[in-house]
Amino acid sequence: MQGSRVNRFIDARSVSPGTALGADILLIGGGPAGISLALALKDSGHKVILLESGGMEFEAATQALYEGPETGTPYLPLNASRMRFFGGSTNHWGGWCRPLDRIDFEARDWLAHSGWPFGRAALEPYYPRAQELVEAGPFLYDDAPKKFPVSTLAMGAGGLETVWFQFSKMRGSVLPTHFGERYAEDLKQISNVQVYTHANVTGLRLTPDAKRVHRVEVATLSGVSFSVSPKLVVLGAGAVENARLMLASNDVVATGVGNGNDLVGRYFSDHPIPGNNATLVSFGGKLSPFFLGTQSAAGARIRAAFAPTDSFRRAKKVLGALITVDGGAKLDALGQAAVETVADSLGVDARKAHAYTIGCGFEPAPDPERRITLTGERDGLGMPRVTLHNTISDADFVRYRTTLEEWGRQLQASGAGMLRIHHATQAEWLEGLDWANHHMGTTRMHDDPKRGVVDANGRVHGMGNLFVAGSGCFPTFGASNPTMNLVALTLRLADHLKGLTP
Amino acid sequence: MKLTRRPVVVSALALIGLGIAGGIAVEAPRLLRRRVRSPYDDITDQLGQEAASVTVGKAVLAGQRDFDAAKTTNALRARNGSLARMAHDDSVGGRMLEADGWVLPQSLGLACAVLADQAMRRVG
Repeated sequence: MQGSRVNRFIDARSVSPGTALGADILLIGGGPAGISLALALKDSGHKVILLESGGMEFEAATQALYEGPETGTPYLPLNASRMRFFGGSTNHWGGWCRPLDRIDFEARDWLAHSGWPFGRAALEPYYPRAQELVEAGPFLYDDAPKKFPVSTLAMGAGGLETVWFQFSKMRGSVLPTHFGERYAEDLKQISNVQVYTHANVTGLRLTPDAKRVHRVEVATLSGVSFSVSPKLVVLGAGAVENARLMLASNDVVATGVGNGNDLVGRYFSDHPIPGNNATLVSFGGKLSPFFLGTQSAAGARIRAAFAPTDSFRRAKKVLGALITVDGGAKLDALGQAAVETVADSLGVDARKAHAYTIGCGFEPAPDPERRITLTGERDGLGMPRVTLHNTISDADFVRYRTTLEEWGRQLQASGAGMLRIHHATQAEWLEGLDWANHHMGTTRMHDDPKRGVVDANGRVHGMGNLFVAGSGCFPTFGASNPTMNLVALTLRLADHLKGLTP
Repeated sequence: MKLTRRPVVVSALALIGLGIAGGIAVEAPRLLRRRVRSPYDDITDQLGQEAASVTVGKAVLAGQRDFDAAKTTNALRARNGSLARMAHDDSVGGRMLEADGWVLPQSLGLACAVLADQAMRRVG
């Protein structure tokens, strides 16, 4: 019935001021985590309320709530690297999907702060459904070449291998799945879920013993205030906003919610994307189109890339990287000479050699000093704004370069080609550094409250009814794009919540 | 016996001609050789096209301090193998260097550097 469907999406600006709502589970944030969780809680028997700050479309005044200063290594503007309306940052994502690697979950004695509380096996049951939600077709990834014939670069044995991305459904060959637009109608069909738009959470109010959230304050930019008293609360507002809400809710505990060990907001991360990385020469001629862009195959949109193997990462103590072929390149005189000289030495025919520019996104090491903190400034709702202190380490540059150097070695050992690495110094590298808009790590997951904000189930340490969903929980980050992975992690949380009696 | 000048002139010219011919015979092979000649020919002769190798070698030299062609060549000789074999072994074994970012087997890059070093000395 149309009327009841519409009523499941309520504009909070129409709520009577002072209203006190109740819910079994309150979801804060209508991005991929919140929407996936709401869908997963269908028919769970729990009364679910989802609060979304924005509306169904972009609104500048709402987006401006994200503004905040930055220090340290230059980063993207905080109000431009995420989207504050229904669907969250899927409203501007590129649709790139790939599960995290097994090694990404491991505690590595050479990598400080590494180790998830569980291995990839704990997420594997949730990847198929996550794959459905991001609409990336059948779950193929590195099994893709078994499904259709494709010629890859014959790199032989070495530290890098060909890996495969899949892509969220393309609409008109342009747009991937925008969770808000895609799942709004589905949510309207779910009788136990109520969505409030334009509903900004301005405070998590704790019980006097600071063990539970007993009330959540909500406000609209139009001046309406009301509250929700939930049995369980899940923060799914993104890594920056989750930390902001926890830090700003400091009326009972001065350091904020769940911040007894000064970890909330720390270990922020994103995937650095250096510009002008390298030139790849394939001696055998043009690469398969699968390397140069997305292709349709076996019911999916896929693209090949290169990545360091788990064994190479362990041996050389490097982190994840995903290397793509961006486009054709023209060799200068030195490049042509290098190709002639090397091909002659190897005894390979390089008359059809073809050169390409190379893209790369990689995993930085966790850094507690890369963090979100509150500023003295207030936004339009009276909430403290945040500042981001961004860092990137010398070791990050060394690890990035080690991976490319190995690729260059491997290409020649196999006679497949060769590589020019463009950045000789960290300063050059930093000059062209971009970021992927992948916010992670401010509420990291660890079994030990001294080392993590949330436990293996996403529950905030020391809190009985507060959970966090999303990539803010990632203790280490891998190189894979986070959306599908955070959806899988959220679906795991949904199973956990279903098993709880509110 | 009366000496005339003509046979003397002819003989002198013949001697000069012989000298020139001898000089050409001795020097022509050196002049016509493809490579820069140097005491390191046993290594550098194994490189492919000279111009390309010199270009690569100059880029290698740009990243080397106190490059010593003799020491470098002796180190390569000590490995007792063909340059192609050494280059392959370097690639497999991870002994690489960079020439303006181009990742190269150490032996190949250094051989190019020796050639470039000698070529620049000749030009200079």
